Amino acid sequence: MNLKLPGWSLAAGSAFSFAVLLHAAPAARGVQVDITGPADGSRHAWNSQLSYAVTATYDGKSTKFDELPANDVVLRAAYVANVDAPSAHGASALPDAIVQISQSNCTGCHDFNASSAGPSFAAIGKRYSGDANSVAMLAAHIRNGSTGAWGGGTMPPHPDISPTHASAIAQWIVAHGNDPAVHYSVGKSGSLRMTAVGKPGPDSGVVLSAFYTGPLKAGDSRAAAGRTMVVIRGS
Amino acid sequence: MERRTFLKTVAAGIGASLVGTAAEAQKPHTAKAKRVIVAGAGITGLCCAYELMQHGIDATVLEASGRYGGHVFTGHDGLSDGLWADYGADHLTKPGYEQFFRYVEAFGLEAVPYPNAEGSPLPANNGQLTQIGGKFYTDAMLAEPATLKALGLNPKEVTFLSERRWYELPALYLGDYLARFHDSSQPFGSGFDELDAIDLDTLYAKQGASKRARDYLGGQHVNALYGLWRFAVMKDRGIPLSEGETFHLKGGNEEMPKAFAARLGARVRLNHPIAAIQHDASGVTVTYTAFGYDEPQTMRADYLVNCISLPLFRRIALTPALSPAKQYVVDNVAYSSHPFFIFEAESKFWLDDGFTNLAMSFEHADISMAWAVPEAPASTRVIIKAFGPSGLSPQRVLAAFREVYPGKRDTIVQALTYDWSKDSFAPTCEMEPFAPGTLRRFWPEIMKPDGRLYFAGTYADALSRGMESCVRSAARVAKEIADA
Repeated sequence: MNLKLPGWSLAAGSAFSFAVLLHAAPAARGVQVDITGPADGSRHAWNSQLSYAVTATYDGKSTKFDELPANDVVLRAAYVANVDAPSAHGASALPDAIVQISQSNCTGCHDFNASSAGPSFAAIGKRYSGDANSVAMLAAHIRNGSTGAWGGGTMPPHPDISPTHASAIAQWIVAHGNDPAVHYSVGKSGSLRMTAVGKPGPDSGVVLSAFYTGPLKAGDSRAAAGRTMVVIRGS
Repeated sequence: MERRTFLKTVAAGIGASLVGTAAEAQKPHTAKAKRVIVAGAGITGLCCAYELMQHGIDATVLEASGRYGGHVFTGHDGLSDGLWADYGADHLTKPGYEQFFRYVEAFGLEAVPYPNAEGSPLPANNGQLTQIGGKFYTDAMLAEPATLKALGLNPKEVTFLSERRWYELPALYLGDYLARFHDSSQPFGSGFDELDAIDLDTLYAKQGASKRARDYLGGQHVNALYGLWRFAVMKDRGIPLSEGETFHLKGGNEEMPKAFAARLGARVRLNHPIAAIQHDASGVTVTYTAFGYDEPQTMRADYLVNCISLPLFRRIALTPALSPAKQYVVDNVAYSSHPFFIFEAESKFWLDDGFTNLAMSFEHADISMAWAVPEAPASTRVIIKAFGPSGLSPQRVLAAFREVYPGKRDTIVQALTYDWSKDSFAPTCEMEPFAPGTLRRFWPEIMKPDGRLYFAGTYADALSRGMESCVRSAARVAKEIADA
């Protein structure tokens, strides 16, 4: 763990500072993320639902005590045909679009895969898949709002989302929003579904990866210590 | 449940309630007393638990957040003189809120007239102003044939609107259909099933409605059969096209959740979020956590009533998963959600500008409507509510108001809002109309239980219409469980 504690060496010899150091050790500055459920290696039936729970700590603050808001946590559930294949365990980074989605109020109205106050990202991705102009159009809708683009609802403007971030979100929705193999959840707890793509084999399963998506101090990395990945086998 | 029994129960509607009776004391306990867990302490969950209690059934309400009431929320912060504002559920109507008014009476609450709520029509020429093409029109102007013609309405519409109010316009195009809609207990079977395929706007267009009329009527993306059925249910319940006279509760609409909660006492458990539900033929087991504790606890009951809005209910893991038909409903009911912007003014400034009322609709992108809330007896200050897009700051909406308000000056000294899109527990308001081509997948599945799991909420009534559909569905489900 990379502890950046300038000045500690000056007082490291005193019993007082040693005690403080011991006490301070868990409040490390780096990102720590732990999937506390479901259990790694557990088996769950295809099409069943299961609860998940994640804790995140960063800069001495924890989701446990709401010092970090629940939407600073994102869980990714990726279907893999063979959970034992090394590629299934490769830690791929979280797309920046998902970080932006979790940090804005997007999920107050949009779910990833089902209807809410707005259409799901999957439904938007499906409608605009292959439409070259759609990214710019959706990015404009995110920034400026829209009416009547989808049902009778109104998309409010989001001047707080920069044009670059709006474009990244739109790009992700069109390219990956409707990916049947990958599902995202924002929040430190919730449910997920054991969804297979096609007919699952005996070694097929779902790989869960948890991420901290909150603000970072200059120089810090999103790369987290802890049980950030859990493999579930389908049955 | 047998379809026939089910529809009969639905049709029984408000008769299902035991409000105001001493049924709890009178009803003999059966050999095995039923236990019910109610998920969610919004107005639906609280009402359902209260109704179950009236049936002599033991109910526990598990609520994920630290307050009850959900989207029925009366705020006081930031306002002077003890003034308040309803940031969620805004008003009640007469007729149309029969079940709700039974509770008002039973609990000794007071409903206060609240004309022009959310832009509801006022009596003709009572000061309502509508901005069209930058110009403000009075009701009298909007009934002049020359004005109507200039707005692009067709001759039939001009004749109609010179004699009738604008809100009656659906009658011009749907009157014949409604006269033939013979069974409003369900959308299908009255001879209009084919309307499931199109939207209401297309139906108006087919009958020659002008563009201006269609813009006013709305109906794009609204399932035409669903839209027609809504009008049929309203007609059967005696609700006029004006939607009736409008009221709110003295002290704010949250007085109703408070009244239910007071009677439920310790049965309501706040900050007790549900993580998982297991259900089988004999009952349900709910896994939840108590406030501030990580260790999950379980509770067993004979039934569970889900009174959580469906987008949040989806966050709870169900074992076994719902039937595909029910899962479709849970995944596809669409909701509306919008904020109110609240202005506090030092006086009724519009009177100085010669307006009898502040009841105005605007064309500005940041504000579409503003109306005055009836004054509180203890204050000379007034509350104004406005519609604007969510995510906007109240100051921006106030700036828009000042741009479009047709008078000289205002005395507004405070601007507030509550951003529901950032609320983790009650982000959604009412159900959106069903999309064309989907009604068969929703109805009647949307009203049905899935095994021991029952569903109540604004979507689970034949007429999704504010708090009334919440309490009607709650009372219906309580009775279904009592009868099961």
